[in-house]
Amino acid sequence: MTTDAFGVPLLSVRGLTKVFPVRAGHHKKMVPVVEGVSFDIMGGESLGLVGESGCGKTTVGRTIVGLYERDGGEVLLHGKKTSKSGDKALSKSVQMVFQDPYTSLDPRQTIADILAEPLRLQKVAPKSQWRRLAGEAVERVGLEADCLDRYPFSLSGGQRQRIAIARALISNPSLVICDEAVSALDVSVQAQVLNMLAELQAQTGVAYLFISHDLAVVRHLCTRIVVMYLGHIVEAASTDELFSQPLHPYVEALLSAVPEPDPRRARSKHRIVLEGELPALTSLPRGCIFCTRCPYATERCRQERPELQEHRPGHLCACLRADELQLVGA
Amino acid sequence: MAKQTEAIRAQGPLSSTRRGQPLLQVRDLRVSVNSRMGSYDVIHGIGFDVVAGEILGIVGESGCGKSITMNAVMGLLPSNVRVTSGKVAFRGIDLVQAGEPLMEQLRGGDLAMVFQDPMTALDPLYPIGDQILEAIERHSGARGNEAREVAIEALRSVGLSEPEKRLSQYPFELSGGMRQRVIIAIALCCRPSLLICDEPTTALDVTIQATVLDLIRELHEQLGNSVVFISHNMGVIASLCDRVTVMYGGQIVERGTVDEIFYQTAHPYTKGLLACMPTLETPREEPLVPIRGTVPDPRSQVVGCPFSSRCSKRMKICMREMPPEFVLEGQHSCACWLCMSEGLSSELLRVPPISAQISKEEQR
Repeated sequence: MTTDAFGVPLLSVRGLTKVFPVRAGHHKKMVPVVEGVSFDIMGGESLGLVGESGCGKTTVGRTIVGLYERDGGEVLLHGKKTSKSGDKALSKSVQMVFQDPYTSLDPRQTIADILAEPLRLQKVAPKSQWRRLAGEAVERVGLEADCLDRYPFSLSGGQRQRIAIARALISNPSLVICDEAVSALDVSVQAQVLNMLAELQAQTGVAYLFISHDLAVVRHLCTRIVVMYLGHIVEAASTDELFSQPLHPYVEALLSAVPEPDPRRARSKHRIVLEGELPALTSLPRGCIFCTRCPYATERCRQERPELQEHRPGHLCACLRADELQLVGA
Repeated sequence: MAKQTEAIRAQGPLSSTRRGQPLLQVRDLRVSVNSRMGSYDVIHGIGFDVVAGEILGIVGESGCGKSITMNAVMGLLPSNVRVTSGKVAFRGIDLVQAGEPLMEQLRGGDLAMVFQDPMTALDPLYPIGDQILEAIERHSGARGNEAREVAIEALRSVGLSEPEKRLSQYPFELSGGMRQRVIIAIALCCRPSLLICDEPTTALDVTIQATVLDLIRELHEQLGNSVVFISHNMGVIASLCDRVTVMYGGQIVERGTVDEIFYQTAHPYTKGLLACMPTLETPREEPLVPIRGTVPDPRSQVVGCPFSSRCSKRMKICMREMPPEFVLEGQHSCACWLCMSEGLSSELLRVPPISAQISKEEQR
């Protein structure tokens, strides 16, 4: 983890809120999909953003870059405020890799055109240099330069995701937001792309915000992890601490649910089965958002919403009983 | 044929197939796809048994043929895909030759399937009650209130709260996990002796996945039926299955008990699959060990072992000739030339011929 000269984080998210309209009968209801989310990303680090579907992790990523306009909170880049719908400084330093490599590349552009687009928009280099830079970019992601004149349809899913990563990195951003970037890939190819992401980080010093539902993948790549549940951060800690000493009951359950590719361990593994379903975002409980499924919930949990607090150095958790519960890690 | 369906009815679920007896036998199954570019094989003559009362896992990456194999068993292949040769014997009936009326009798009754995507497997225009009653009325003969009771009981058995109320709800009113429970309830309401699950938890979150896996295991223990569980996730396979079959490029490359596959892994592809998956145990500082290259296009006609283009232990023979299955210790066998010295060729230990009943069927 490196900070710049003044210890200012590369990107700070402060109280980020995003509201979506939902039709309820004849009325439009505004539902907060992300509420009061705050975290920092330091230069060169990998921060994991984990949660199940509908927890708002993708919305956080898209709101940071301005693909969604935020409804509250601030996004600070090097300590400077950025505008709601994304601005030049932001798009120059922050790039995105999306989940589905089949829809995130324009099928009518050649690979060279796809890679030249950030260069043109960011005015990184003159036109005469585009092809050379594109050639270097594909070689950096482990492809041959002769693919530049091909179209996306002639590439496999793993190769397309490499192109998407090359496109994100070609304008030398300081942060790349990877939104489920390896989820659509076969496991054997997923490992190639994960290794490549780690190598590229070592070479260029780029920081990642790695959004994923796969805890094992996030654990492998990230040094720090933020866990979200129903639009709120429930726990944030360094990877080692989160996995060995989780403080939030949801994280404990999440860790216990990860399937273990080892039959003996899988048989003996103590699994915490969460009762009940996720509450709808339109009717969140009044107290702790997790109280409907939490095996440790008390009456107080149903009445009072816990705040995200630092319980150990660098280890934040939003649980009223975080200090008394003895939770089991992975 | 009417006689056959009568016979199935009379046998009742599981009464005749004892635990440990083969329930489903697949022999030399070949499936080919017709396309504008001509036809090509996607399943290259595979054979396996599903024993009564076991959970068999089929593992492989996309395009390895695991779903096509089980869709062929169910008679659910799209019109441009067909079984070109081989036998699929289910309780003495050859499903390849069975014909649509008999398949309709079996499908959803004694032979049921759970699909990957709970968002599309249910019809959005009908309440879930209609969809579960359809299966019950078609296969069990129960009608009216009696069928309704069975439906309610089935929904309760998969852990849905207020099952009476659920009957009138539409799929859009349920979450993904609840829909998958409904689909499992529909599959199990007629007490099938064989349940085929095609990646049933892939579209679900981990905590929901854990409860659905628990449910499949519990119901399997209660009903004593056989389950074929298709997955690409080695973690899910390890926690659920008794035996595992690993597929690659339309072939079975390794099979054995779950312990044999995980602890005495023989095939380089299986080893690669286990090594490349990040787990909660892998040391974080070390890079993962990926399998180089990509899954081959099924349209490309591979000579030799389908994994040879990606294999780090490739030899000359691998690119010329597909290895036979070498039988190792126990139930373990592996189709890799590296195992030649360790095991006996399956050519010598020929897999037992399909049960006598099938040949009788043919004579008829």
